[in-house]
Amino acid sequence: MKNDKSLLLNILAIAFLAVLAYFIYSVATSNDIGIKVTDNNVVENRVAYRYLNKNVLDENSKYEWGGKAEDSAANVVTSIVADYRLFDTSLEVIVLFITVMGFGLVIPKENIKIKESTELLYHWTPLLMTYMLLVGGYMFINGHISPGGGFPAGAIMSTAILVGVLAGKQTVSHTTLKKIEAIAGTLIFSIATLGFFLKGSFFINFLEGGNVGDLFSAGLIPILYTLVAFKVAAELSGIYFEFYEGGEEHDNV
Amino acid sequence: MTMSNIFLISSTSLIFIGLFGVLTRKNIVKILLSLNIIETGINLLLVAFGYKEGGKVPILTSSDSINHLGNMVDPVPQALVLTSIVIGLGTTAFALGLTIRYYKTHGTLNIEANDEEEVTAHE
Repeated sequence: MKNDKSLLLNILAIAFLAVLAYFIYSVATSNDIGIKVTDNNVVENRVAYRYLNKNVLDENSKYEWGGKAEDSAANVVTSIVADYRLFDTSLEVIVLFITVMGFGLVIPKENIKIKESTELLYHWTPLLMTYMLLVGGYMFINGHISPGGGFPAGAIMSTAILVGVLAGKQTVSHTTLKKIEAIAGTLIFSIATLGFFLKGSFFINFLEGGNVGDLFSAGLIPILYTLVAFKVAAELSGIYFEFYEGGEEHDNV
Repeated sequence: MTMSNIFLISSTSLIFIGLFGVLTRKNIVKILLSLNIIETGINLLLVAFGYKEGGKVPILTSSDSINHLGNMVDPVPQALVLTSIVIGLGTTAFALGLTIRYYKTHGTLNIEANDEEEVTAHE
């Protein structure tokens, strides 16, 4: 009886959602007035076009390979994330910090046993960690030239630390991670405040110069992305240590 | 049928598959998986807003790139989706922490009260 009822409910839910989905799809693709997803907008209305053809520094500045530009990052997405919408990104880092802190608050502090790692994982871990840290480091250093950036780099580096935890190796302690996170977070907002005193605007990119496509270009973007990468890596690694060190606290009590 | 239509169909399907899971499943872990499927669908929809026929990656790679500026896809939705993914990760971790706490206190991952609990609630 109960199973029949739940089957009926499932069928009703499928029917209802299918009608709703069809309605939304037909509205989104209809030919009436309004902006549609399927509109193939003219190029001049695109943000990329306006961004790349800006003329901010002086009359002749134009965005081109090897030339000077407002914030000489070759990766347009990085320019938006780490320069134009940097305030948004910094608050995003704070949201990540708060959720990880909340995770530490709600997780039950009990003794969780970690299985002994196998011989294979134990001996391959140093090599794996080296490669993961290299890839992560490459990604945040080159975030303004090529795809990548602070957030994926932080995720990769925290994966390296997770491998270390799984293999039972002593890599970094929870206290060190908290210190790294605190230093990175403080530096991000110190740089922001420094910009306020130097140029009169919060989070302004006060290191100018550099040519588009060079490694040492784009002013503050690589510095901030490095700090973001370390902060994200420390935060995400903190999640594994919440499981793992909760037990130790329990043992001491 | 253009590429935009395909993006739209796949993102709405993902969103509604996730909604179906949230509405009908009883297991908390399955509900969280469904929420993540909804999130993926919404991210796909946001990226699809910046799509452009024959578009290129919005990264300057050589001096030739200057000739293709008009062909680049819109970078703003991509930047927003980066934010969305990171926050989704944080909220998922928090929700899983709450799930562990729920399992410790209730001894089950089911959100529906079983028969014995229903009897005690009625009394």
